[in-house]
Amino acid sequence: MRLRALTLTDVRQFSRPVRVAAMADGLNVLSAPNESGKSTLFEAIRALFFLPHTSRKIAPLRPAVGGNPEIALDIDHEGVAYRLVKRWGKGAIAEVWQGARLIAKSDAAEAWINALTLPADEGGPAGLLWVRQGPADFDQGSASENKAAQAMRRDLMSSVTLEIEEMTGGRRMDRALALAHEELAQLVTQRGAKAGGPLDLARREVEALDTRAAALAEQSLALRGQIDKRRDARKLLADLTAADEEASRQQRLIRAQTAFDAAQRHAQALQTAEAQLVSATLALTEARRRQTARQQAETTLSDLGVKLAEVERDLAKAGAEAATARAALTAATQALTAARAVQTAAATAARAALRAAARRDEGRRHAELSATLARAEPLVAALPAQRAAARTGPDAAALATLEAAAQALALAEGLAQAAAPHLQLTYATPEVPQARLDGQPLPADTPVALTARAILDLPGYGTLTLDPGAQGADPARLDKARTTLSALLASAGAGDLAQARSAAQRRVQAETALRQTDGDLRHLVPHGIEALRDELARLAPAESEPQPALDPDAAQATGEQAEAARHKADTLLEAARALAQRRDEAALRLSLQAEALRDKRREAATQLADLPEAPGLAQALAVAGATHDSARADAEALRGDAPDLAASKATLERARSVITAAHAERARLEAELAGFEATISARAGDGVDEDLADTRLKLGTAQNVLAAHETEVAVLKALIGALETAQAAARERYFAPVLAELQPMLRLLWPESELRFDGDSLLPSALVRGGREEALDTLSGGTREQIALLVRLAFARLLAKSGRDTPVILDDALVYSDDDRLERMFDALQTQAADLQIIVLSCRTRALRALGGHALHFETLES
Amino acid sequence: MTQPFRLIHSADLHLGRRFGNLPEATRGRLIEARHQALDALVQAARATGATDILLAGDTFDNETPTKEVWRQALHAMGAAPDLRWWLLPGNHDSLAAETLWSNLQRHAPPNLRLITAAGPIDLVPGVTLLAAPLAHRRNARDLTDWMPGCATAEGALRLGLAHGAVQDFSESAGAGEGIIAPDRAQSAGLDYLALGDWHGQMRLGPRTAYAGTPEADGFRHKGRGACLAVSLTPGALPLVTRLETGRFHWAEEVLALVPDLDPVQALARLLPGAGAQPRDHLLKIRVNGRATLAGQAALRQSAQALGPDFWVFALDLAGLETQIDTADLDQLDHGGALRQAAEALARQAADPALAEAERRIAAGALNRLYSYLQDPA
Repeated sequence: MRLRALTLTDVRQFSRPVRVAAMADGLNVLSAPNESGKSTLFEAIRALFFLPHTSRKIAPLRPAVGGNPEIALDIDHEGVAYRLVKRWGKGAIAEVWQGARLIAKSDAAEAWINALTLPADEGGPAGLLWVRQGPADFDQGSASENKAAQAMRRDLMSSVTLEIEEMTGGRRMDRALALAHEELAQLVTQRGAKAGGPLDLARREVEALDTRAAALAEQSLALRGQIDKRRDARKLLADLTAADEEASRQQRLIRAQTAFDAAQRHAQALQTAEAQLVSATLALTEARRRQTARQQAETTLSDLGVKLAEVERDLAKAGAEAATARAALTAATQALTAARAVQTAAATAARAALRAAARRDEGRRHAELSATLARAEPLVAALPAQRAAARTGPDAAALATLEAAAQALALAEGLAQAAAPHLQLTYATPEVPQARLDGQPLPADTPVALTARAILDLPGYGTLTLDPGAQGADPARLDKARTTLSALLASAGAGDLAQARSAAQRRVQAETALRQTDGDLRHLVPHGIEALRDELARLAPAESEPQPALDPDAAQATGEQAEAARHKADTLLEAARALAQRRDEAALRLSLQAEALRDKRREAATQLADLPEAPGLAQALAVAGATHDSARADAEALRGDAPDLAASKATLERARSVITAAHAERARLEAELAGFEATISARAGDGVDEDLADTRLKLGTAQNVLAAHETEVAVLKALIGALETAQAAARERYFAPVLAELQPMLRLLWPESELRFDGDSLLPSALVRGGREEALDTLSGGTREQIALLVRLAFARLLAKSGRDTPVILDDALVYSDDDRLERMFDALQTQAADLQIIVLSCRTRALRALGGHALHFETLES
Repeated sequence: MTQPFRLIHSADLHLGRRFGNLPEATRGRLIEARHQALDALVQAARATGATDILLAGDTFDNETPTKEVWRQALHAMGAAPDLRWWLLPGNHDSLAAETLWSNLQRHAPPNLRLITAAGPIDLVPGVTLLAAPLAHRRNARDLTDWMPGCATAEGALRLGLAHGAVQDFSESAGAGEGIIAPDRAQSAGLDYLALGDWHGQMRLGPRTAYAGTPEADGFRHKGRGACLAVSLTPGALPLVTRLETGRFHWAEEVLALVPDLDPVQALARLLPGAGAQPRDHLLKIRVNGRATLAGQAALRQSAQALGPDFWVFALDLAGLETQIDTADLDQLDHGGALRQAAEALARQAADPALAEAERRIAAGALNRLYSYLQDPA
């Protein structure tokens, strides 16, 4: 289909008929300012195709001044020219004209027009490809329009290649997936089993039955346990209450009591005999002990006497040895005393020799120091005068200051002279009286500087006072120089500079003499003359007649020999002392030992005296032995036939406890049985086992059902997975033809870019640039509108290739594009326009001049 | 005695069984049918002139039936005063269920005899019953081992009554314990040994039989429940006649398929014939072998169509393998994504590297896809 001309009557602002004619194949451009009616044109075409003439929703079309909107569109369809006419409101019509022949009207005309925009499977071409004003989102119409557009895209692809439908599975695939998802959704959600769904219910039932089966099994087991216990309890009670059992227990008690009494009596008799035996045993033991003690005491006394005699012999020998040692000690002591005296004398002689040598050295030193003092004293006496001369007169620095001040004064005076006005008088004749300046004759023709006020006495004329003022001269500087010089001379004690220079020279000479004297003194008395005098005072002068000299070395040798002799005497004395001490100690030990033995002998004698005599002890022992033998025989006789008291007591207690336990057990069993009876009769009729068997069967069935549902989930997931995997692969191929058309245009704008499509909506979802994928809704408005336009152009070319030309109408579709991008979009439009009819409506008059194409205009018609 | 002694031999009524493994809605009639079996036995006795009905154990399904179950059973027995009921404890209702047996004793109608001790019982002059009640659910020995040594009057009929297995085919847990000697009738000189425990009827020689349950309760034994009418004459072999007493016909059939076999026709051949009342039938079809996608779809559709006619109809496809033919895949699609998905599933279904469960899931998914695309939209 191609649009050729559009006529609007009473549509929006066009109360007078307007026409846009001569729409050509290829690119058409209607460029006009805002409010000129471009969008009205767009809406009019839309209304003609999609708004039934009977519709009452025509307010958007109706002009403000009223009227019934009418639209006529001339088209070429499959090589034949038609005119489509619709009018809404009063006198509504829908007509299709072929030349002058009306071929359809009203509903038939609507159906004819609808067929032009119906999807392929409903017998019509895919419809117009609209691109509206603004950043065109792809699905921006109503839900029904979007759905139709999506169907159109699928059909468009189907028409491009017959394989597409088969590749993607088409509606059969959709149906299979929808059924699988629907069935799966009955069972599970993303988070697991669907609450309340069959799988969830099956799981819950299994859990509930499992819990119930466990509880019932427990109840059943408990009931069986109660029945078993009741049976056991009944048997126990029957055994316990049997008459013969009771009589047997009583007889056992009587027998046990009798045996216990007899055993108790026998035990008392035995206890008495045992006591007597113990007493006899003790008496016998004591008699034996006393006899043994006497024998031991006699032996001890004898042994001690022998031992004491031996010790006393050793003691006598040790006393003799101690006396000998003490004599040797006395001799050694005397030898040491003599050696000490010899050593003392030698030491005294040595000290005298040393003192004599020292006195000779001191006399020599005294003589030397006296000579030095004699040389130093005159020098010391001259020092004060030399120091005073060396401080008199200006030093070098003061002289240099004086010289500088004199130069400064000379300079100031020179400058004053040069700056002062000069007076030069030329006498008229030599005869005229000579003038006088400040009383001094003023020579003729000689310039005289006036440095201060002066009085010029001109004889015959009077006096002329001349005041040079302050011009040119610096009197302050001159005064300062003079004052400075005067002050310096005064401080130097000189009347003038020559005196000062003479005094300075004398001072230099005095300083030289002083340094010489100082040097000599430091050499003679480096520590000062007073130190020399002090040392001299401490020394004694040499004796006029020296004493005979002693040899200190000989004196020292004598001393050392005396010391060695004394040391040897010391050693001998120590050895003698040690020996004497050892001998004394040995004698002492033996003495102590002898004393101890004597003590023990006395003690043994005392003990022996306390014991009876031997014959008495032997008689007592014989009596005790006889008594003990008798008592032992009695005890053994009783012990031999004694009954077991503990055993008979235990037997008696056991017999009593059996009777007590039987009573208690009977009471317990009767109570227990009552409890069992109550519990069993309460539970037995409840059909616990029936419930349990039934619940287990139900559980098995529920587990089977659950397994079946889980298998069902697995089957459905496997099916969905297989279908979606295959579909995804097919979609990749599905979009190949679209991408083949789209890619060249896309790369006009973005080299190396790709567009990704969403599998469900069949619309672009992302742009890949420079390897980075950007979701479409994150792109700028301009980029999105450019992509939208290119995609539509790609679809339009596919339609055209399949023989279904579809105009592309762009209503200010590139308002967000900058000029550079606009140029490239124009290139894309021009490229596509060769096969398509593209109608561009825009207010960007200037920008669109570069687009080219066939220009369209509004043409106002006569009413 | 000149007249034959006639009795009804039955067992394994399992009163109180609730059929928890079957759908809730189906259980009521099955439970009621078990109670009605008592009336059926009465009818059988009267029809054959029997005076005594011997129940060889497991009259009750468990040791603690509800009051309603045992009280109503006693009423039903007492309602036929012309007959005597002899109840032998079986493994499900052994004497260990003291409360049950004491309740039965307390409320028993005059024509009910409870056999609570092993030993001879004179039924009528000249007829002695040697009964072996089960003291416990499991017994470590043959409880009939005393019968050979039990003397009875010269010329009297000797009847044996016991419960348990004669070989390891017991219906009960703990099989292998207390096996009854298969030649007990011969070794004990019994004219007839009436056994219980096996729910199907079985003759073990001319003088020994299992009566089976009078109302079938499972798919294991095909058909309806029945009892045995026994006529005994001294010196002659017993005359044993099967009398059908059950209402429900239970059957588990195996449907073996191969790809070339029409599964719908094969299924039809397993259905009860004309005149049968499907409402009283419980039919379980266990399918094995292999079938194509189309065959499976047809089988399922047929089963769905047939199922509602029956009281229970179950089609077990767990043992059925899927035969994947190109023709079936062509029916799904000749190419494109659907075909690719189908082929992927077919490959998984045949992949030996996958576990059996995974292969079955893949085959199931393929069958499901086939059914989706075959159903009219």
